[in-house]
Amino acid sequence: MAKTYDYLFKLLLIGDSGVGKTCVLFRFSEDAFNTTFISTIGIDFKIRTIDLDGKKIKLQIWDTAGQERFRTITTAYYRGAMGIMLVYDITNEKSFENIKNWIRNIEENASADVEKMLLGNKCELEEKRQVSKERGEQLAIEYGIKFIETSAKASIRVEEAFFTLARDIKAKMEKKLEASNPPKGGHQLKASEPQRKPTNWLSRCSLL
Amino acid sequence: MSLNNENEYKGRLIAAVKKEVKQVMEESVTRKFVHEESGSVTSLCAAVEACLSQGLRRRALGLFKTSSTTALLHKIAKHSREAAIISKKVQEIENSDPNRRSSSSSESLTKPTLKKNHSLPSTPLPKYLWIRLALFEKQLAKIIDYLVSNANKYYDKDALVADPDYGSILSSLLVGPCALDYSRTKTPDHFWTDPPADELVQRHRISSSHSTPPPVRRPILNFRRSLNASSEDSITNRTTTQHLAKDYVESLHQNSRATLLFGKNNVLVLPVNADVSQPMPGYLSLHQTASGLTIKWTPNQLMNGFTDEVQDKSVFWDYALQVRLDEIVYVHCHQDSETGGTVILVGQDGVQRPPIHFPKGGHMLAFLSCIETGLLPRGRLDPPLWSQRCSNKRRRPLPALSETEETTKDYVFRIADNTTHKDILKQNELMDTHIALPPKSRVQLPSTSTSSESSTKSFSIDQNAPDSPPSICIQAVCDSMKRQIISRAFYGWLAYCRHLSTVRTHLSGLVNSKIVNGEGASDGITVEKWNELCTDGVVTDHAELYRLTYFGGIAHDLRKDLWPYLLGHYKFGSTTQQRMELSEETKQAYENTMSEWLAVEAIVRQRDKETQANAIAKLSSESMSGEQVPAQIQRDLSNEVFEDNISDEDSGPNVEEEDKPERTRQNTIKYDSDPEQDEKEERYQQQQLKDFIHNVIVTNASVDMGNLGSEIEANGHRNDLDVVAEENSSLDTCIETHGLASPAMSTCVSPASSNGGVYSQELLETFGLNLHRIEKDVQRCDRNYWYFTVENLDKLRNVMCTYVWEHLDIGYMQGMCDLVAPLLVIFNDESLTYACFCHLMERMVENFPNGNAMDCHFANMRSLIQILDSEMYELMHSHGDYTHFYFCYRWFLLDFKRELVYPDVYATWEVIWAAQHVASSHFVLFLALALLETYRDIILSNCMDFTDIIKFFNEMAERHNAAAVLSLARDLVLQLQLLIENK
Repeated sequence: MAKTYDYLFKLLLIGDSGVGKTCVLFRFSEDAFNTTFISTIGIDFKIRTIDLDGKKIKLQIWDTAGQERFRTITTAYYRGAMGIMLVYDITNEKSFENIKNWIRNIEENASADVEKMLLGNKCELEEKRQVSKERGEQLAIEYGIKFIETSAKASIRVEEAFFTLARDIKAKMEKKLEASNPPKGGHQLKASEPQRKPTNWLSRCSLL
Repeated sequence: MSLNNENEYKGRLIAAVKKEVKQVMEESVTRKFVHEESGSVTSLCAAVEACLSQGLRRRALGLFKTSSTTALLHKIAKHSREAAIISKKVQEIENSDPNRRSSSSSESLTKPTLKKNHSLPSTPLPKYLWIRLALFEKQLAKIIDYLVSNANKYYDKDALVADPDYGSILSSLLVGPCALDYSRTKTPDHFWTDPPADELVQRHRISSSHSTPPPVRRPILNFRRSLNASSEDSITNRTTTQHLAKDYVESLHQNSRATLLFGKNNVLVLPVNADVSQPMPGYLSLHQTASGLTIKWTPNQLMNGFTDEVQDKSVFWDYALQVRLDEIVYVHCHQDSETGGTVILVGQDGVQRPPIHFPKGGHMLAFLSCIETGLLPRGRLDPPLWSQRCSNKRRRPLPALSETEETTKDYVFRIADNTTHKDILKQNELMDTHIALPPKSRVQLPSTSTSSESSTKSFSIDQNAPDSPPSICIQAVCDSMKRQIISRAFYGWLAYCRHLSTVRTHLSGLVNSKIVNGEGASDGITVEKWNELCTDGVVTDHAELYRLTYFGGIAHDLRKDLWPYLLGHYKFGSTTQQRMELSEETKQAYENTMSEWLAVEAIVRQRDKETQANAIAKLSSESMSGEQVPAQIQRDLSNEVFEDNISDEDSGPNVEEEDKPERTRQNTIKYDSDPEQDEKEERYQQQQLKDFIHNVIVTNASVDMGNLGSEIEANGHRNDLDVVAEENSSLDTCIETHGLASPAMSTCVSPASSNGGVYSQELLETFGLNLHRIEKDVQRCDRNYWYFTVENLDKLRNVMCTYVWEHLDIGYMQGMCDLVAPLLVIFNDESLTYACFCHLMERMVENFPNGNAMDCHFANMRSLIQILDSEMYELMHSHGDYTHFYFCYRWFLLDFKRELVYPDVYATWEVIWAAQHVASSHFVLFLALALLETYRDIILSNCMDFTDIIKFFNEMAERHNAAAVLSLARDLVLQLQLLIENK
């Protein structure tokens, strides 16, 4: 019954305050929605272990304060992140516009090859929509990242978003490992591998 | 109980089991195993116990024991194989501990599993022992199955277990948990299992004894204590003659403190103050201690007479002799052919000690040679006892001292210091300077040079005595070793001094030097106390008010009156009249300020609506219109973003970019960056925009215009106003005139009106941004606390907006709402809340991103932990180094507001405010430290790393025992005060 995980991925949620980062995370980690969340101060994280192609992947997802003033404290967490969810609110044009700034923050603070993904949250509020899906898609294409519209409240595609990001990280990681000398493994990847990795999983890599 | 109620109750019982089963199953999926002591296992067992107890035919079955279900288990063990296995195990465990009552499974019992704490002989067993065991042994479902199928024997017919539906549901529910593996030992994977905070706390509670969490361990203080003890020891060595008899005699033998160099029975001494005329026999001994050689002589009566009757032996104690050799200058030897010889010691004061008569047999020579070797290397006998002239190293005593010779000769030896004396002096000086010098210079003392000195010293001994006899060499080596040990102790002490000096220099600023006594203050300010303090509405004794608050808090009903004092809004000594006037002024000023920003808010709202309308219009027209219109809107909106950047990033690393706002703007619009054209284009765009907005509003009135409400008639004016404002900003002629009451606003402010206020674009945008942020946070501020209804949230928003309007340079930052909220709950008065919040922010604003207090807090925490809990510091340092203390960020930013429930926030805040006048103006540090120390054993035993500790404290939020934490924090302040005082 007991299983160990094969990878530990550190993910980060960023975006303007009030776009629903904490709710998205809560939906993913607890499969619940809570209307009484207050603004995130400092940092928090949640854990969920998922199964991808037979691998147990532990996702450690960091939730940050949205207000840009706090980025001195939040950028400290960019560094260790392997994947970043950029979240905006489809009913808030400004939060969408600010994605550009957040991306710049990532470029300045995160490692260069961090996987990114764009989330347009609150998509259940169609009547208040200010940002069309097309604009979201276009922005994602511009930055070469994936895009999903989600709703933490209505539980729309949140799961899918995190699985997609995790899958991309895993693929990138395994590709990198294959490219480098397989037995030794990449430098950066090693840190995220548990020490007691037993199987020769390279032979079973299905994604590449 | 009616049938319905009963069914409902059963349904609830089953629902509880269902919930717990789900919890356990989830735990097994998200973690690698379920810990036997996991909270969810206990909860599941409790739920099962509740089901099994319901409707049990206790009396009919003769089950009278405390836990009937355990008794039931033993009963069915005869018929059910599974029950028999568990029953046997339960009995085994119960029998293994004779101290506990039998079969009381719902009591806490002793459990022989999982013990990391070996110091505790027996630890409390978890509750629901048999259910637990049955679950771990995977037999629970089967046992319950048996019970269900034989329910008529054991249960009433309306019992849950006897119910045709619920009974089978219960047993089938438990099939899942019975298939799980439960673990009790920590595996190497333990770190990856992330047990939730409550589980950690519970585990700790289970594994440690019932005693309250241990007070902070203070290795450094212990060290000091032991240091004191040892120094006391040496003092007693030096001075005491009044040892207990037994101790005294024992001290005559070889022991850890002193080496016995010589001992001889029946040595005769005539004590000075004795009534006897004849020398009396006694035990002569020579001891070497760290401080030097000591000669002791003890009358035989004391040596042998222990078991005799207790006739007044006290007189013999007076006869006993104890001479420290460093007080002796000359040793006179009188040789006598009849007896073994006599030794008389002459002190530095010239006084002779009583003669010591040796029996025959060369004992005097042996004694003297022992003295000589004992004196090395610091001193020697002059002239030497052993001839140095013999190069063949053969022992050859001075001829005169040989007993074989018939001549009776007297000799006088001087006890001389060796050259090493200087070194010793030096060392003494060193120690003296250490005591005398201020801390700083103490630290600067070169430790290396002293240590090298000591090593050359040990060298010189060997060199000085190249041809000394082997025994002397060994002695010298021993001595040098001893000295090295002593010097090591000395360096330990030196390190301690340095440590103290660190404390003094770095941490002395954290606490007040004056220690205020908390006597009689533990009840804090009660209504009676308040009546005493507040005579005729005037409070004068502020020191007492602070003291009482610090040690005992304030009665809830008084907070409304007292907090303004603590925060500095009310002055001590002010009269009721003065305070009323102040309140009136405050209120007036608050209302004035509010009317100012309300006017601006109206404009901002209007613009928002237009923007929203634009966006919606754009969405609908996106497909048919060209690029032109959306680009304009984007420009308008990105302006906001851009302003945002300016205010946010002025201290950031992107100064170059921010220095050229025009270009950024241009980039966004995708125009080329010719500054000449800027203004023209902007005007052009504004004109276009204006037209566009008009179009949207006029033509698309159906698009989300319903919300505008009463303001809709002002639309036309507003649009014009916007344009005016924008034009003004681009011309850099922003004038800020205001003072209009908000009702007048909507009519007065039009471009044509001469008495209307005109606000700069920048102001509008800045305040608009802040307004949006405030609204976002106010809306979700403590919604589940009873106070925050819609209208009270409105008050919160007003206070917040007023503050931001008055402090636009600071602006709104997340967390400010959290600081206003408790004040508002207590005062329930906007203007008073606002005034007090302003006072509060004087200190708190430095914690926010633009201030530097947070870094100071972190640095101070680092020092404090290092000093007060080195073990914890080690862990933090080694385990992925989280001595940056980011996990304390929220604690300091909000004065622990999010860590505690509301009543505890009140209690904590007032102590923090009072603390600066009583004990420490950095009391928050000690609170943080107290929080850490409260859970230190959990943190240490789980080897928490940074992520663990963040998770732990985030999960523990609002679940702390605030009273205990506060009291510990006060203790910690006192501890540091004492450490600094070095009492």
